[in-house]
Amino acid sequence: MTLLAGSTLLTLGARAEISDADRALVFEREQKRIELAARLAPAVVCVYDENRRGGGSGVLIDSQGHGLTNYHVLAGMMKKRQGFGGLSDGKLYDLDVLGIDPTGDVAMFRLSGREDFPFVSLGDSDRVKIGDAVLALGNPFVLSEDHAPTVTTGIVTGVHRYQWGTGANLIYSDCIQFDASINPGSSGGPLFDAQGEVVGINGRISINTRGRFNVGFGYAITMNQIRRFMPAMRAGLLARHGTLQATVEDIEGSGVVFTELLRNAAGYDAGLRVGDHLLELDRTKIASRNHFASLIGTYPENWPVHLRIERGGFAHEFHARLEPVAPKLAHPFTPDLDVNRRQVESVLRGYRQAVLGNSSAPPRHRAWNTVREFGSHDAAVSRQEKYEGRIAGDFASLRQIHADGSKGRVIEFSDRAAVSRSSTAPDEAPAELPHDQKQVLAAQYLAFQKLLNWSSLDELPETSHVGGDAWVPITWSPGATTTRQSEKERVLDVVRWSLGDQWDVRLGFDAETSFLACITILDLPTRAEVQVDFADWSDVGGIKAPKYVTVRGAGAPFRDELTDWELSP
Amino acid sequence: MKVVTQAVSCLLALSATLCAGGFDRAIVTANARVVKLYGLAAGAQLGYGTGIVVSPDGRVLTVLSLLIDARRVRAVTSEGTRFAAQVLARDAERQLALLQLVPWEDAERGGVDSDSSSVADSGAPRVGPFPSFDPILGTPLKPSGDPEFPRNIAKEPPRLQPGDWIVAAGNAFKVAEGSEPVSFVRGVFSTRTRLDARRRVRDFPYRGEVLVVDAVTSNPGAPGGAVVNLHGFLVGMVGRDVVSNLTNTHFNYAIPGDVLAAFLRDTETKKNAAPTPTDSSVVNSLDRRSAAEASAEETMNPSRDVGIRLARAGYQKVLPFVERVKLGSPAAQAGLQKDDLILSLNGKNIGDVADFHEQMKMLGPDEPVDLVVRRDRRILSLRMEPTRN
Repeated sequence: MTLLAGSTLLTLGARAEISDADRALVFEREQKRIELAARLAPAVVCVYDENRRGGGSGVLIDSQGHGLTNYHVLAGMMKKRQGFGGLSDGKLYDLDVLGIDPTGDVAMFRLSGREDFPFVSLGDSDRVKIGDAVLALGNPFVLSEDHAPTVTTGIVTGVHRYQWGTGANLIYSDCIQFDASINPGSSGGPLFDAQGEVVGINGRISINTRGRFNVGFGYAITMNQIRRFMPAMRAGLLARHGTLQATVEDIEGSGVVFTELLRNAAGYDAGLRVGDHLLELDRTKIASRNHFASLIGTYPENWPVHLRIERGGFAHEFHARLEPVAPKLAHPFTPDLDVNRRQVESVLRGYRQAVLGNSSAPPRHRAWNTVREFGSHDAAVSRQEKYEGRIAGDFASLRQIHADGSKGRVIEFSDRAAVSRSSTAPDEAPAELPHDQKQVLAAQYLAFQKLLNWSSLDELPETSHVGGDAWVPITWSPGATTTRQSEKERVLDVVRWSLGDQWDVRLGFDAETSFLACITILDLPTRAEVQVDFADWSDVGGIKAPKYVTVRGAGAPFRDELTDWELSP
Repeated sequence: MKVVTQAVSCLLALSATLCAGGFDRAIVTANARVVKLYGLAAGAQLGYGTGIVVSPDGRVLTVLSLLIDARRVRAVTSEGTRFAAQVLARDAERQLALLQLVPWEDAERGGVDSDSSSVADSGAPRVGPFPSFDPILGTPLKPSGDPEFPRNIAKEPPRLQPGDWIVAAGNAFKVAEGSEPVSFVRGVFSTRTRLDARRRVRDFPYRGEVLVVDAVTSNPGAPGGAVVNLHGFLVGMVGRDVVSNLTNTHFNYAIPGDVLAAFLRDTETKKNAAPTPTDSSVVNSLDRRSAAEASAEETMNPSRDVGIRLARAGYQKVLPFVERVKLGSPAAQAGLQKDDLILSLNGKNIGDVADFHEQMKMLGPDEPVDLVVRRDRRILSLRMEPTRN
């Protein structure tokens, strides 16, 4: 019983006396609610345009002043991309518009003028259930003179709702429906659960014939949807939604069936065909056309999705990456390079901080031992090899160790030359190695050395933040069934990096922990791509290092278990 | 306790997304016992609504509205199954209707007459069993007809006290589709009173008592929805949208459970014998007189005479735009069209809808009506010859 449904208040028939204990419970709940509102209010923003007019709401999500609001709140400010944000301290701060998600009606801004902004933490909207108590904060009707937000309470009255938008804009997919009053001006304000975590951004109400005000039907965009778009928005980009370029219909007696597929588009290329029965999208059973439209609307472009379908009596599984949906914009949106660069720096600094912790200088020399396991189709592990890894300065090497302890071939990588060398004996001439060997070593060099030894972005090659992605871990052997959907979705910040002239490198950082999750290196001349995953970051001599490195390249996927780390300054 | 837990988990299995909070039982119970109705859309009637299942074999209670006049009314249960709903009984006084769910395919094949009482007389139920409410006691029943919560078997209908929580379940704004749970609003029961004494309302003949609640129930699609107490017992039904002509405010209320029960009792009686007067404990003679007056008012409704209906949207002042013109009516014969703005009537300026009705009341039965209307940018003069049939 999270709400005041004291059982004695509502017995059948005659009313019983209210006991002191119940009375105390009521006051206790009330006190908690008061404390909660007081704790949350400082992070709620009253949003105004550059003329200090208009009226919307927002919420701060970190101490640097990053905040979330509705796109439709900032839509009128897109020319100058500036406005003001008022906090409950009574002060008005400068507001800069960062990235926008017009389709999902979300946008990110940043306040400036204070070192340490109050902020709130983000919750898991998948846990929200009908009946849950919620608080909505914001500035309805621009009532607040001192920027202190209005607080309303209610319960969740619906989940997984779908509300049509205008064309490709302002679509509320899989949203939360609630009965706490929100009204014009509340838009962009946070919806909190009973723990005070943000589970959604309020932005829409159903209205009746009497006018544009609340009749008990508010809708919030879920936090878990917004999370997927946050990396792109934080980096000042236009965050677009994804589509399969496919249409499904509810066919009586057959369930949900694909009726249209655009040729050479995401769904078709993944293997879907007209007539396929859709069973699951990302491990969620699809009940209706509405359900599918609602779920697919929560993904960004290029997002990996898993589909399970039935065709001719057999179940098939497909993986697709979604194509972009172009939103309608009054002004063309050009990403702000300074914002993007600042976000690149923030992500890279975050990684360095996560790895090095309080250590002032990263070790200049690192060595480790590796047991490499190759996956095969009939067994989890087909064979093992042992290696010694070493990184010092701009040089990395990997030496094979035979079962008898004798030393085998060497692979080397240098930052400047990007060369590799292989030899079975020191006096033998080096042999050319497959590209993927070089790329693997380069990835390790980047992760363990380059990304930890810099003080200014100018020291690094040309970098840009290209948005978010979901981590799809490498299935390195058929025995392992690790897929993205079997665990909690991990959202990545993706930084693109041109290393040399011939490699296109994408670094994927876990948006929550800041650790490097994967590096993808595309060799431009050969189009050969290697993905290297870094997993299980744990303590090694005062800093963090991954326990496993998994590789998908030209050959069989393999996994290195890194042990016996040796670090020296 | 074990039994109760099982019952609740069984319900949760029915709709996995429902759960949690102090309103969980009310929400889960009500959701399983309402149906989404889809029917005739005309003017202010948007073509969707809600009904309450009041018997395991598929009797559904809803409000009297144009919706149920569709050739085929579609009812979708909480499990997402589609049925056809046929009208068994109507009660103009209480503004209620009783429907019977029948297999959709039967209705499609035309095997069953629409709007006939033959279904009720045919004996064995052909659909269900459904979870339902006991219409007399309000007790939530399992499909078997047993109480959902055996520990709380009621001997008498629940009596709401002012301040008690209520939850209203209905498909307001048509937010839910198929098996998706309907929408809920929760609030507090304020008082039981007569609607007429509080509001100057028109177009609503019901003059009995209503339950006043502070939850917003007057939303499109919500009428016919179940109003339950925290224990999930039916205490009332969301009534038709009632708007004050003075302030354009909508009134949030429910038809009390005992009025619903009386209607069902009357229906039973009518089925077995000749029609009898309405249960006087519910609607007293005063009410009946009011209802008679109201219906007299309706028959005198001038809009009906000439076959037009005027716009109802707007705030304080409702401009007299023509919303509908009845086919073959005097208005249609005069050439009046939808979206015409009425400027004057027999030389009198018409400023708003109220003016129009006021002027129409002054007319004699056979007096011709000269209208000046604006259509797009043209000003037209039209003459109507009202005929009373």
